[in-house]
Amino acid sequence: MNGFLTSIGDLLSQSGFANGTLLNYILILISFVLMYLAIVKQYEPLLLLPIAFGMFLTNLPLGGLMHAKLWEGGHVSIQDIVNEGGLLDFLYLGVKLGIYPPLIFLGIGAMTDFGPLIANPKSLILGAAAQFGIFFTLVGARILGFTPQQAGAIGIIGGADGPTAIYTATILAPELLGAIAIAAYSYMALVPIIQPPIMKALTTKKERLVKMEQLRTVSKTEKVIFPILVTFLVVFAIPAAAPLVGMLMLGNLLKESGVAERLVKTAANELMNIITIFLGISVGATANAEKLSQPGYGFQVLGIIILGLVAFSVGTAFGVIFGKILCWVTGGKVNPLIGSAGVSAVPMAARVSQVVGAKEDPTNFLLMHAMGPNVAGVIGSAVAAGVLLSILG
Amino acid sequence: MGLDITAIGMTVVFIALIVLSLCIDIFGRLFTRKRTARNTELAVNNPNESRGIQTEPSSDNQIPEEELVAVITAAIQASLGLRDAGKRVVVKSFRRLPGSPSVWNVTGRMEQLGSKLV
Repeated sequence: MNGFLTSIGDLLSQSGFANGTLLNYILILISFVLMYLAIVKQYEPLLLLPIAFGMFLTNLPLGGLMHAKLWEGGHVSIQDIVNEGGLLDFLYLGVKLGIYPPLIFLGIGAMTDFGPLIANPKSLILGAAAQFGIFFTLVGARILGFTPQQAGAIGIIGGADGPTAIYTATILAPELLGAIAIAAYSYMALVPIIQPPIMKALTTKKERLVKMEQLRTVSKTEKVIFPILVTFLVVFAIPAAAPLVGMLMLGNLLKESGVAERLVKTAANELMNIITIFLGISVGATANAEKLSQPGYGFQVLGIIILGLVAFSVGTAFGVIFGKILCWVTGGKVNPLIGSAGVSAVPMAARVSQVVGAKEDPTNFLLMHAMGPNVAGVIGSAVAAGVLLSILG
Repeated sequence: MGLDITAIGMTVVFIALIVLSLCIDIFGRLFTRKRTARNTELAVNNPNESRGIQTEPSSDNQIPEEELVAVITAAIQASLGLRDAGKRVVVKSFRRLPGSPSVWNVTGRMEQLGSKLV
């Protein structure tokens, strides 16, 4: 009889209910809210659902899926992870070792058409201008008291590029990865709400009515040379950008060459989906109570949310301002509204340019022109990330 | 306070992308020049019978000119029934009427309509 009671006692004391802290329960509740947003409101479900469930799993006490202490201190001991790690620890290796984000870029490159950019290389200048949001936010983060590395990781949210943000945050500020990732993807989804007021405020009606010349057709040769050229130039200039830019351009080359159809299909579909699942669940799992119960974390998250908004807004503003400069320089041939598409949330930001332009003149078809700066911004934010990693990493 | 990083960072990003855009521009021009050289060769050939007809659509150097000429000539021949009559047409010049919508406008509109019809 005694043995029986002792066993029940043991079972109870080892259960999650006996070992959970308050923060565990709070985070589990937050994960439920995120699941609600993903399933019912359909708010970026492909990413948010794995992230939410990862957050849920990691906060189940004693679940053993994720161990925060294995990831502390910057240096990763593979032996410890193999000995003591749980499922999500192993999946998180892909994030920590910087594998998943470049592979996502491979898929993105396989889905992207750089034609509008090749036809109008000036778009690259607009793509560069919008990256100012990154650095402006970096300064803001420093003012708020973040370390230079943390400020860099937060600033990259302004690049409006999920994989770039995750890659940079993993290296510069892994303790903030979860918050930065969720902020980055949330603001990307909010681009249609954030951008139009800024675009309208900074442009005159006359500028918004500018109709741009039809872009020239781009030959297949140019489209094949482009990824090789970009990789060569960018990686020689900023080697730290090599994983991101290299994989992006590989994906694009596979697509444009036309000789690797099967690989393109896989990279753009199956590979993207697999990596998205692993990435989502392991990034969500970093939001566990052990890590989050460090003091001041709540304020940091609040700061990240505000700074993320600043990043997107300033990036949009600078893109539009440079659009105006280009409009003036070319004598009215460039519609400034495409400048905001330099905030590289592809293709959402380009669609926003189209919609805002169409409001003034329904026959104005800016979408293709806006795709130039949009994809240029992807390259621009990868370059900016490379610069930050070189200086701060 | 991060201002130095901002200065360096923005400078590097701008220089890198400007150099990239110049290179793309140069490459683009190399290829378009090769193509317009090909076009002028083909324009010299003429069939034996000719009837000069003024037609509307445009000559851009973006679209392959020989294809455009071929398509328009074929369309005129078909609509005028010239082929059956054994006569040929040479397009002497053509010019786009200003104000006609760009190809993208039309395509975009058609896609919108098409998606709504299902």
